[in-house]
Amino acid sequence: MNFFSTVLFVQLAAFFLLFSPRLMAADDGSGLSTAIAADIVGSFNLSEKEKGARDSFGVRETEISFYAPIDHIFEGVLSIAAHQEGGQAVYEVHEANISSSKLVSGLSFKLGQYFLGVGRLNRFHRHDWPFVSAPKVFSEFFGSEGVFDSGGEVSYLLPSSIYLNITAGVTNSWTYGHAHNEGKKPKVPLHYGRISTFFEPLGHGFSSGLSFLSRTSAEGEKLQLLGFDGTLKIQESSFPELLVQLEAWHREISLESSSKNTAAGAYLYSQYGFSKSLFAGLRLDYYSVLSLEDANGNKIDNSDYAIVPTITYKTSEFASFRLGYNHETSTQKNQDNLQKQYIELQSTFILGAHPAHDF
Amino acid sequence: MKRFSFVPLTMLFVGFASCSSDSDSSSDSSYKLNEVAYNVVDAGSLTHGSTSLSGAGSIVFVDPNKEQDNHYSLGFTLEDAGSLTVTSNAANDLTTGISVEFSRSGTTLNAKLKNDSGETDISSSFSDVDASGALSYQIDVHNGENPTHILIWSGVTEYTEENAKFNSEEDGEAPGQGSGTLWGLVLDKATVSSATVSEVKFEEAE
Repeated sequence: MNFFSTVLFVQLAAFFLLFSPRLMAADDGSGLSTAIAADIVGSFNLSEKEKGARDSFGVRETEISFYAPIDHIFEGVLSIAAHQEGGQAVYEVHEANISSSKLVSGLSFKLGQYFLGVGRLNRFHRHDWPFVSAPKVFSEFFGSEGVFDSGGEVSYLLPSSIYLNITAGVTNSWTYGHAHNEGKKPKVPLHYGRISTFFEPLGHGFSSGLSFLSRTSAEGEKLQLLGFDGTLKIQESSFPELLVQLEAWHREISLESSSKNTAAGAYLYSQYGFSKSLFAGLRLDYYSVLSLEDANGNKIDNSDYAIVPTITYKTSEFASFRLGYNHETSTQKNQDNLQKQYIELQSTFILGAHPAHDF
Repeated sequence: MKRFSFVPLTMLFVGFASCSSDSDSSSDSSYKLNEVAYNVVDAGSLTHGSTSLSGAGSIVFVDPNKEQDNHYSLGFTLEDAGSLTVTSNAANDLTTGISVEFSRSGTTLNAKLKNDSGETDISSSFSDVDASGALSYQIDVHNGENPTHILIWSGVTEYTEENAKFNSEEDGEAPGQGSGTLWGLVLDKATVSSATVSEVKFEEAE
């Protein structure tokens, strides 16, 4: 936990304890809403030979969020999360940003710290995902919970007859992904964009987007990501009867002094709703290091596959229970296949308000 | 509603997933250490045996590591003033990698983390080691983090941060990351009896 986060969290905790009755009530006219989310996860191996799970059950993450209109123009959000790392609780600011969509018609922006507006999963907090853990392609390219950073992001809804939204942002990016220090000033800061559309075929909702992300580190390593995401929701009752969610990503990492490292992957998740409470889903994952070569320069075919059926029971948007089975296969030419089988259990709950989601 | 089915979507996905090219990857390697093929980078004065490698020089193992994070297990001895370096996430000439170097001075074992841009002395974590005997270390290299997270164990069965002899997040930060997919060894007055790679033993918190 860095010093800034520690101080901020202690101050926030003290403030929250002193004034929590007023905050929770949210009846002081300020519009301030509080949400406290807990994400409790257990993962257990079904095979002793090749382990893919921790064989443990515990709190993966807790998060305290405050959000409210700041004034008649701006809105603000502050979200602080804690997760276990090395047996200790590590606190980090997930979101602390000011935003507005009222300055210019069709234009919205946010300034501060936030999850980058690219792809599908990265735009949602992990406890709101429809499955327990990230697909391989996502965890490789964005980490296990997504990439957040400090910077600015602008979105513009084009004034056209079809829905077309353009998002662009630049962030600090002294670090990218899992890091335990403040990093170094990048040669080219992280910049990204997403162009997205939404339409309603037969009265159902479909959104899709193309995303781009790039950064050149202090050491000259250039990262480039290109991705596609699509989400279909069919809702003929009071709940989504069918959710289909797809993301496909390609990554290229190049260093001046060495060859390019390229990888690609995708996941497809389909979920059927039996009722307001019971959902069954199936996720298929694929990932491959496209540029993998042996020491003789021969291309080495490789791939990671996973099949992840998941059952979700939720009493409301505030409480859910999930059971997932993971069957993972890792292949690499000239090597034995690795197979892992494990189950994941998850319970999430939210106290207080639940912020509205994007589609 | 019934028009939508999992089946065509699944077939579409599997079709996408199976679009990988095939190419010949026959091994050009001449040597094997405990059945694991390697190429010589610097022949030096290396002596190649089926279960040992000794002398001075460097080698790179033929098979690449698909994963960024890997676990290495080493068994070796050092002559006085000798050294052994394991380099991971490297190119086939062992450049652009991240390395752990063990060197002997009398009975003292010194150690460093190195990459092309710098090095970190981590000898203080090995001050209780008698370097004149057989040495065995298990090393997790988490190159997916920046800087690379390196943990070194010796003689343990549970690979935790608490049991680590060295943990770069607490005892000395690595100088950066590696950027390749190959791994190898650099020897100088050293004898290596085992060198294997496998999945990481320590799982980072999610």
